[in-house]
Amino acid sequence: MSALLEIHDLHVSFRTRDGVVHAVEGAELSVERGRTLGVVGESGSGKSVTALTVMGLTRFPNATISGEVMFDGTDLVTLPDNQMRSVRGKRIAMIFQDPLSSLHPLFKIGWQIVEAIRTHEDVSKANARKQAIEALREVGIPSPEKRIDSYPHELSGGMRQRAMIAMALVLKPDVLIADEPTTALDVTVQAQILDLIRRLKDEYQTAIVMITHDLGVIAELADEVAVMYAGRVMERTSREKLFTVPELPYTWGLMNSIPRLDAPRPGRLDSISGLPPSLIHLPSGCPFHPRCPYVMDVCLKIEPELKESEPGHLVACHLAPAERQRIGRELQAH
Amino acid sequence: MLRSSLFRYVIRRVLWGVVLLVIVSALTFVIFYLFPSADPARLRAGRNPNPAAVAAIRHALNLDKPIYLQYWLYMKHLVLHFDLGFSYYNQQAVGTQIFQRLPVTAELAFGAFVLWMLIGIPIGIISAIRPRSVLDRVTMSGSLVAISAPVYWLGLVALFLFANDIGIIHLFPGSGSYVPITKDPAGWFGSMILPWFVLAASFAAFYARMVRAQVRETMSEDFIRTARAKGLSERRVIFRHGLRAALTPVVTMAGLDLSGLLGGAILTETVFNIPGVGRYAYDAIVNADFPPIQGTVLFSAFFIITANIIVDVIYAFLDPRVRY
Amino acid sequence: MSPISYTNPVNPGRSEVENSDDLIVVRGLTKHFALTRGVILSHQLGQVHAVDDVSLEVKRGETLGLVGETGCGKSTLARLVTRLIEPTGGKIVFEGKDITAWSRRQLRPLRRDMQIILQDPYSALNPRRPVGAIIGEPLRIHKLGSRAERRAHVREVMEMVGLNPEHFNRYPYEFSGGQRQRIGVARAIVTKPKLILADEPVSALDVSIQAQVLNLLEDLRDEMGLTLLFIAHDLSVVRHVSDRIAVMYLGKIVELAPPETLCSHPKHPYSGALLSAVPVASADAEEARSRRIILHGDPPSPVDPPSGCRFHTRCPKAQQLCSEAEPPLEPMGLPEQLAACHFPLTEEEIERAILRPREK
Repeated sequence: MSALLEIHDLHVSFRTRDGVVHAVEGAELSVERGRTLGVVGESGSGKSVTALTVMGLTRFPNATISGEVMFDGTDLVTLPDNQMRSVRGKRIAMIFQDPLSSLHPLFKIGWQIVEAIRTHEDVSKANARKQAIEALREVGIPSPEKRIDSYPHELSGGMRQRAMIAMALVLKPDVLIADEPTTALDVTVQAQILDLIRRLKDEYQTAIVMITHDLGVIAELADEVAVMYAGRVMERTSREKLFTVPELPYTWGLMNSIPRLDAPRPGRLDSISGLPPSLIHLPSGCPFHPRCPYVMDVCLKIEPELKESEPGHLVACHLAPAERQRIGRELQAH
Repeated sequence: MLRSSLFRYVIRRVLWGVVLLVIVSALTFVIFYLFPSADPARLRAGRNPNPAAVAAIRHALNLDKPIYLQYWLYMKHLVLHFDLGFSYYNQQAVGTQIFQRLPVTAELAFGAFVLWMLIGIPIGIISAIRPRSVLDRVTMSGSLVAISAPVYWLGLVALFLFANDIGIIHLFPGSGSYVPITKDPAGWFGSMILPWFVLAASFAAFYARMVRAQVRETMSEDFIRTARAKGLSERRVIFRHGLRAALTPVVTMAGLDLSGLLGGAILTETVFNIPGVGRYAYDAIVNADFPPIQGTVLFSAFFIITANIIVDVIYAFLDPRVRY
Repeated sequence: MSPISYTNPVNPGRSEVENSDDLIVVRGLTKHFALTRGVILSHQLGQVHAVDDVSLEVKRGETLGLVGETGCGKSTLARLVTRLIEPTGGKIVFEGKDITAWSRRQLRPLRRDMQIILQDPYSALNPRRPVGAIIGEPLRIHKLGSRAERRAHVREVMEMVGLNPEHFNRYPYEFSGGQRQRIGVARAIVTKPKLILADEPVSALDVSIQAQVLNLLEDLRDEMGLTLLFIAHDLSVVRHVSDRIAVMYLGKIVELAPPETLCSHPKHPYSGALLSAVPVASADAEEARSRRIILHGDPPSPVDPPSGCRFHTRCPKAQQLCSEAEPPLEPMGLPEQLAACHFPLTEEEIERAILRPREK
């Protein structure tokens, strides 16, 4: 089964006053119908820019985009804007982090959902309104016939995010890209929303790209995981393998630095030393080398390629696979 | 329930407005009497006033009474009889004069308003959509000139360039050529063109800059990104989503600016010799003629306070996040 | 450590030494924010019950974690304890002195001993001032040391938090988010306070930076003997730093216990729900999720809190009694554990729902 969405060698850079920002440097990702791809990374990893580029939302005058984004046989990078618009919102939908600022404050949520429907489908307002009410009901908003006329600020954080999800899924897109959808929410609400996303995915077989910095969310929701750093995908594997034998020093660092509820308290958290790299002046060779506790000479000179270490496990690192697997296994045994 | 909270809000504002008007009138009174520019009685008394005549005039005008009594008398007349007093200078009823001149000022104000909105807003929008383009740079620099130039200077320059009588190019009627619209519509229109443009100039420039800033800021908001992600055309994103959010504050500002003008565009009316409320106020100031000054000040304050209440209510309709 | 002396001026006041180990004692602390409406004379529509009748002690040198969701009152409680806002009722005792009704002037010298670290590193620092001045400001305000001494101390503190003292004259915009948070920490410790209130200090930071700042806070706390009030919505973070954790819901403390006790033997169903809601970054996540206690709906409004136990509207174990009588916060379960519940969680229910820390 070939992937529904495949990203090959994507490069995105922006010319700014301070220099050229290399936001994405060769991203390789894919996701299949009914599966969830988790994209993990911190600020500056390029995960959001990658998502926006898939949607065609980075086509600014100062942007340079190269590479391929294959969706159902078509390359979205070269697709003209007017054709891209019929894909955006209808076949690939996106939801964002903060639903309060991401929904238009001056329009009722029903109006916004109806607009989404009528942009892509030739239906009457009444019909669209019915669809909108159903969508709100499906995402678990009580009394949707009343709520449909609410303004975003009149709803709680969880309700707002549900409304955004309703708006994104009302046209039954093939792919849903979720950019940190639960980061701004309380943890109990987050649990509800993740549950909702999973349920909808199972029902409609939507492919989901879940972008987050939270490894816990990944562990719950993702089938496949990609770890991004400095605009590159540096590890790509199944969720299972990532949490049993992670093979990337950066991934090890991330896992060590989160306090875990299910493990005894460490005295100190093993943080990753140093700061995330500047995207204008990227380090030579491997971008993680200034912070890597396993750095070798070759890491400063040559950029590691994303290669298969084990079947279904791609890693970009100069350490020997056997060594990486040993360290990864040991780490996860704790 | 919305209705009642709106109603109570308006009542509250109106009551405070009345308080404000009282304060304004008292302040004007005090200022005039603490810093008189000339003794009105003496001015009225003519060329060689003899002290007895001056004293008689003083008494007739109630100027010999203590200030608080004068104020009380004034307010009594105003509230009970809507009587704004009589000019010290020519005994004309202030109220009548103001009402006669109000339509003229209104013509000037509304005309300029329409002009500055039609020029300023589109320029602002286009500049915002095409930042750093030639159009953007030209209009933004040009607007700086229009804002910095004092309106009377602009008026004089306009007359100097375009007036029929004294100008270089004989295009428009010169100063003093105002005729009421009912008498001679064509003449009226011709006489108002220069004043409209002059008055509108600095506002148009200011609004162009403000709209540009508002639109640019709005277009970088998250909900615009969501609108694009829904697959809307860029046109719809800008005009339906963007402008709706960006122009809300502009609308209320425009209301306030317009109401300020209704109190009298003093400088423009003076330069072009248009018989409006502003001109009336100017003449009164020159003649140290207190009642018209007080009258026009109160009128202006009334318009501004009323406009404030109206725009606040309108804003609450436009932006559902605002509560009363 | 530094040339600046920190002797506290003597403050006369009624001494109420309950236990000299306690830095802070609060009893019946309440804060209601009024919602008003009205034309000329405003009348009260209702009140936001931000904090309701909270009593607790904070021991010297301990780290008390306050955890809860939006609207639970944790930030309000912390600000009440440090008298940054006025309580509507109750009593606050700091170092044996009843400061509930103290005027601002009386409180001023105390502010040296209470400092705050805020959540957003981007808005917590005045962008127009160089960081040296920002960090040194508390010293200046409390007139501690000469200018040269203050300068020296600021540099020292910058080193302590991992900043380069040479960057004394740089402006906040020149630093990253994590570094700015360090500046905030430096500012908080510069007067060698006894108590630091940290309000979501790491929530806005990337995971790797978060770990650095948490380590920093812990090191400083150990070195300086600080008492820490640590507020966060992230239970894993709170568990990591705290000696005791107070779980809050709608203005009340529903459970108070040491972290290990709370995380493996919670008594209050809300604590249980919070614990099971945290997504766990491990291969067992799938299994953990299937056992999760899912709460339905949104928390009720603090303007109109439910009768009896405030959690009863969402509690999976709620019964008639819960809507009638409010359960008091009392000892139950393990030593040092208090919970406010009529029908606390049983061991069996905990087994079913929560992923326990693995034994070493």
